[in-house]
Amino acid sequence: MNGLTVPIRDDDSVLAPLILGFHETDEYTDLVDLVMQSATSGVPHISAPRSIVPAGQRKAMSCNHTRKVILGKDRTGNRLARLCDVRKEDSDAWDHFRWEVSVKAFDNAASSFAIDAPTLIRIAVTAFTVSEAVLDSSFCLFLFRHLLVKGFAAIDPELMTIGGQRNWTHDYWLSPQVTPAG
Amino acid sequence: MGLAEKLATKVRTRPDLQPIRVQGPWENNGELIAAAVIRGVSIALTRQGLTSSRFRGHDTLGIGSMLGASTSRVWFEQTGSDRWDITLGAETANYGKAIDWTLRFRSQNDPDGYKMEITTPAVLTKGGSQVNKHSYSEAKDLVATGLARGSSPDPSVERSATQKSARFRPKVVLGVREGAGSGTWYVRTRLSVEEIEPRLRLLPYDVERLSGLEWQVTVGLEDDPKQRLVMLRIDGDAVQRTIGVSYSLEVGDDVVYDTCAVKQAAGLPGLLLSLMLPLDPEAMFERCDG
Repeated sequence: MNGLTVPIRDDDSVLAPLILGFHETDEYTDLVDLVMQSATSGVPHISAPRSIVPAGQRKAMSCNHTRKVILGKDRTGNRLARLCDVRKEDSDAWDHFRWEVSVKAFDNAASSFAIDAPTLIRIAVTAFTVSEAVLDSSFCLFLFRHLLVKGFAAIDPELMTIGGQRNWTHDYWLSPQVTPAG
Repeated sequence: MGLAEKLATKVRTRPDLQPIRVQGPWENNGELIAAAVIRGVSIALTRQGLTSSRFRGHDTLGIGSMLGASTSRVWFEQTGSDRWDITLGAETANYGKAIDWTLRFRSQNDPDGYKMEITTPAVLTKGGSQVNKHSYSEAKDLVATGLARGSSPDPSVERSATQKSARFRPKVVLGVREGAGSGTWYVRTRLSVEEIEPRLRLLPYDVERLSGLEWQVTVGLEDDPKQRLVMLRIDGDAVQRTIGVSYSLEVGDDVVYDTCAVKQAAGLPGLLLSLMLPLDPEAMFERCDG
């Protein structure tokens, strides 16, 4: 923490859902998946110190793990993105996450939202951890939400957006140390 | 004492059913309000200065619990559109949860209206007494009150947590490897130019047609002082088309801008392929610069 304040609008909440009025459909391609892939690739991987207990030992030791966004699905097929701690392989990391975002597209006809668009996309933070009112690794969440909205807006210039935080400035990631990727 | 405490814990943690006030369809109203109420309570819990211990097992003198104690952490988790868990505890090494208690909220649509079933799948006791029992009761009461009111909770809780969280930044970012700033790829497809062109518009980036069969795609972040462009060019004959994807991005000044742009550029051939494959199952891509 470096004590700088970041300009967030008063009505921004990084946990509040985003509802997007989306005008594009494609009968061949899952556009939600496309945007999620694009947003995932845009969030730089970070290195985080972790305390682990190696197999066969009793004492914890410190090591660095890579924290990155990984995509998946829930039981009903909704798209999920999780910020995962990767120890060895991505496949082992899915259950070790800091936050989770669910993205669901649905027909606007049956909804009561005052948004004039055929498809609604709901972006919801469906899991997070918090301590002393500080959300764990939220700097990645700020950027991921921003990139999601930016991706949908690139496909649909008339995209309508209501809900929480989606703006991002470089101040959120000011002057980190850099480690070359392995 | 122990028996009375055990009984009190049992009474406190027994399943409960609370009414929810919902106006309109569950997905458009009830779910959003329930999620907001439970999120708000999750954050509020962590403002109380609670402590939890990672220690588990027999601890007669309480030394293990004292040494393993740290500021409590709350895990919020929503499953589907009708289930929420709040867990209070401490994080252990190897990503485990040393749980003090978990409250589970599951909505039900009864003939006489929506109800929230509240259960306690996990609870830690010491000498029969529930650990952090006051916060447990408070969380349960706050959620029940919020749901009965049927309106969104005070948004200032989430806003202030957002503000506070935004002051924390990543300490170490993994940069891109040397030479990753440039790449040349070919996506091969049997689709015609007329079929390819409208699909380029579905890329989640700003795509601008330059001239003829050339396009430029802007990747990266919009406040990046450098313009990060990926060039697309369609070539081919009557049988097969190639979409050339090439980029040469300058890296080295800012790890965040660089990494975002380079990773998005490198992922572009894969996205293009996703757009072509449904119409041309034999479409493929290959890297052409080693």
